[in-house]
Parts: sequence; C-alpha cells; structure tokens
Amino acid sequence: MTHVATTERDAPARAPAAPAKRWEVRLPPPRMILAGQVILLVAILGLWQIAISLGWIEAYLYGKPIGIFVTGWEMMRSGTLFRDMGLTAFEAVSGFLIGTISGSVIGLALWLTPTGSAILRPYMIALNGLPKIALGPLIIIWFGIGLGSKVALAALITFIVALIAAQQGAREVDSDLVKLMRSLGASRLRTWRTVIVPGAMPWIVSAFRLNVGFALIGAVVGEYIASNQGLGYMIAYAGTLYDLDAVWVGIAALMVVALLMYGAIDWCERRLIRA
Amino acid sequence: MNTPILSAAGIGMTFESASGPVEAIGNVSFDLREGEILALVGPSGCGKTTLFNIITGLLAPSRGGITIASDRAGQDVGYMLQKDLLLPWRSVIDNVILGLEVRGMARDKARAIARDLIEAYGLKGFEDARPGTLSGGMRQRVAIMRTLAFDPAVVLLDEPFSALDFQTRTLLQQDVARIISERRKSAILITHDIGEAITMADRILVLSNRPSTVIRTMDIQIPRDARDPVALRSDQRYNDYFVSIWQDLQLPVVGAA
Repeated sequence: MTHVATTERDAPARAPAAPAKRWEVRLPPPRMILAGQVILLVAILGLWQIAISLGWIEAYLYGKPIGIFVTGWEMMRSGTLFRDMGLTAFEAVSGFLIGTISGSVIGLALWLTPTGSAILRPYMIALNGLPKIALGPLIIIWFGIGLGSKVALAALITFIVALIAAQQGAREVDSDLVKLMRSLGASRLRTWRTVIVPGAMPWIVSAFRLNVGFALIGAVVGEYIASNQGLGYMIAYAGTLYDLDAVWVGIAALMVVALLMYGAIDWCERRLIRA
Repeated sequence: MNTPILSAAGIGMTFESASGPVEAIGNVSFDLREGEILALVGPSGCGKTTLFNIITGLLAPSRGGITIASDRAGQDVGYMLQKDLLLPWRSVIDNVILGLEVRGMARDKARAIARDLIEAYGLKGFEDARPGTLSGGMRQRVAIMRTLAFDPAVVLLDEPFSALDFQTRTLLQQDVARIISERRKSAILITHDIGEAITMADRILVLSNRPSTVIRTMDIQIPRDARDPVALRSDQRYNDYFVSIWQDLQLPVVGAA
C-alpha cells in the first residue's frame, strides 16, 4: 500500500515526459459522451433522410426516417406498439427466467455427479453446437401457436446456454480449492455450496447477458414461425407488405426491449457479484 | 519434544507412465517431533509435490506409510501453499473460519476464535476486508490463520512464500515460524530455498534428485528466537549450513553430468 502512494507522489515529476502522455486515456464528462451519442444517431438518420430525398436510394426498399417516426407515432397512439412490445417482452422474460434458472441450477448440480456429467458430455456438446432455433417447428407443434410456444422456445434456448456455462464455470473453479476443502474434511455437497457455486457465479452471470439476446431470438423467431401478435409477427407481417417503415419501428422497439433487459441484468449483476 | 507426532516410514512412490514405471520417490523416512519445524529441502523435480500429496493423504504411496499420532480422526494435516487459496467473495474473517465452519462450529464462536488470531497476528482492522484488497504478504498471513484456526495436528507448508517479494518473504518466514511455535504446532516445510529452511526449521532433511532419498539430516543449532534476518546472515553457522546443503544438492547433478 505504501508502494502505491509513493508511485503516485512520484508521478507529477515524471508527467512532462512526452511518451508517457501518449497513452493516457481520459474520457470527456458523461454529458459530452451522451451528446456524442445523440449526434451520431441524428447524423445517421439525417444522412438516410437526405439520401431518400435526393433519390440516391429508394424509400420502398429501405424505408425513410420521417415515415418511421410517423408510423411509430401512430402505432403508439393506437396502443398496438405497446401491446406487441409487452407481449414479446413477456415471452422473452418468462422464457429467460425459466430457462436460465433451471439451466444454471442443473449445470451446477452436474458437478456433484461426475459420472452423470461424463455420460451427458457428448450430448451437451452437440446441443451447444446446434442452432437452437432449428427446434422452432417442434416447439410450435408441441406447445401450439399461442404464447406458450414462444416462452418454451426462449426457455429451451436459454436453458442450454445457461446449463453449459454453469457446468463450465463449476469445472473452472481452482482444483486446489477443492483439495483444500477436502483437507478440511468437507463433504462433496459442502464443497459445492461453499466453493463451487460462488466460484462459478461470474460464468453464470455472463451467461445471463448472452441469454437476454437468446431469449429475444426465441420469442421473435417463435412469432415469425406462427403467431398473430407480438413484435416478431408485426415485423414479419409488415415485411410481406413492403411496409419498411413499420419494420423499422418493430426493430427499434425490439432494441428498446433488449436495452431494458440489459439494464435489469446490470442491476442483478451488481448485486450478485460484489467484488 | 521427542515423541514423534508424525512418522513417515519407507515412503516410496512409483507412477505408471506410457514409457514404463517412473520412480518418483525411492525411500524416504523421517519422524516429525512434537513442536518441531522440519524442513524438507531438495532440488526441483525431487518429488516434493508428490510427497506433499502423500503427507496430506491426497495420494496413497506405493510403499511405506504415514502414521500420525493424533486423537482426531482425519483432518490431521492443515496446509499452506504458494497460492493463498482465499475465497475472494468472503471477508478476511470468514476466510479464517472456513475450517471451523466445515467442522460444524457455530459461526459466532468460530468468528471469536478467528478474531483473536487476527488481532494477535497483525491484521486487526482488516477483519471485514475482501482478500482482493490485501497485499500478497497479508493474504498469506490470512492463509496461515485459516490453517491454525482449524487446529490441525501437523501444519504442512509447501513453498508458501515463493510468490512473494524478497522483503515480504523474509519477514513472513520469521513471523510464521514464530506463530507456529507460539501455537505449539509441529510443522513440515517443503522448500527449495535453503535460506528459508535455515531461517525457519529446527531440523533439515536434504533430499536427492528423483528417485528421492534422504541424503542428510541436519540439526540447526541456532536458537529459533535468535534468527532475525540480519543476525542470521552475519552468523558463521548460517553460512556453514548453507554451504553444506548447497554442496549436497549439487552432488546428483554433478553425478548426472
């Protein structure tokens, strides 16, 4: 600790040296960053609108920003946008919770049964490599075209991801820690509770992040395949009508849902991993 | 002082490998007397880690066996490694009570024991700190407290200071030796650092290259409380011990070349 203090006190004396300065990273204040982010968005939309107005690209193939705002505003006023967003978010969140929680618990529990893990290993590798949306048609047949099939698809995809992450996380815990617990006379279950579960937590939480995306994929693809409501349905339907403004509204709404879910995950992460 | 608390009798270890059996440990026997620090010094590759695993009971030897005179069944050996193995999500005090907790002691009672240790050995005020905020030397102090709180019959130290800087290592060698004698513990120190062995141990066993055997047993005549780092290095006996162990360790290498 004294070391750090000394270095800091020494630093100003060395600061004028040019090579040291070249690598100094200093971010502007958050307000400036936010301003930059807004400017970037406005610039992209502005360029896009200009390109449409000047006839460089066709509005019916790309949509146009002003049209997107108008369509979006109408959908918000009629309430259909919020209904679709709510539905898709509900499917994604319920699928996420069911799949991620059960996958994490089972993945961690596999540490307790090395024989079971060894037997399951090739199947898990195969499942991990499988593009999970290929299971979509099966799920629709089993769970129908309603809400259930979307939740089930999102749950299935996130289950596999969480299962593999949790199992891997449990395996990555320092084997010397396991030996230490053994030397202290701890049972396997005790070691699991005290060392494996908390030690695997960073892996599990990083799978939460991946799973936000996967849960939305599950919900939206489910709606693409068979549905009559939700953002996925709305995007697919608008696409068949060449109503690209509406497609963009749907995409933007999905991004908002994803951002909200990531925000919630950030909040959980801060509570679960206190470093 | 003369009752052996741990006896290793004719320990030998042969591993099966693809190219036939490999003899890691030839024949190692020793007694650890009560209250003593015994150092096992050997060149790298002399099977120190194998010996460590045999003493802790993590590995069964091919020949011979370890007997521990202890009334407690199991968990007779507490160990400390180069890695401190602290749980980063637990506070210092909750790391110290790990062994007691496993044994089923109530948390409050365990914490009281841990608090005494922490205060006695210079980490007062850091009870609730996370290991990540401590220096390497402080972390190793917590690790030795975790071992002692558990009250094992024998403390096994496997190169516990080799990851630390010279100054911290020197201070900690002294501290840990003092803590062990204050707590009336018997300890085995496995190391390749000759100076460390002379600083800490009452007796040193010099091991040969693999298949390892004991090539010399040496009593360190300098009283333990007279071994501060400066005094030691100007003590002629320290140099004599150092030179003779050094020469012992050279023998097999010269023979092989």
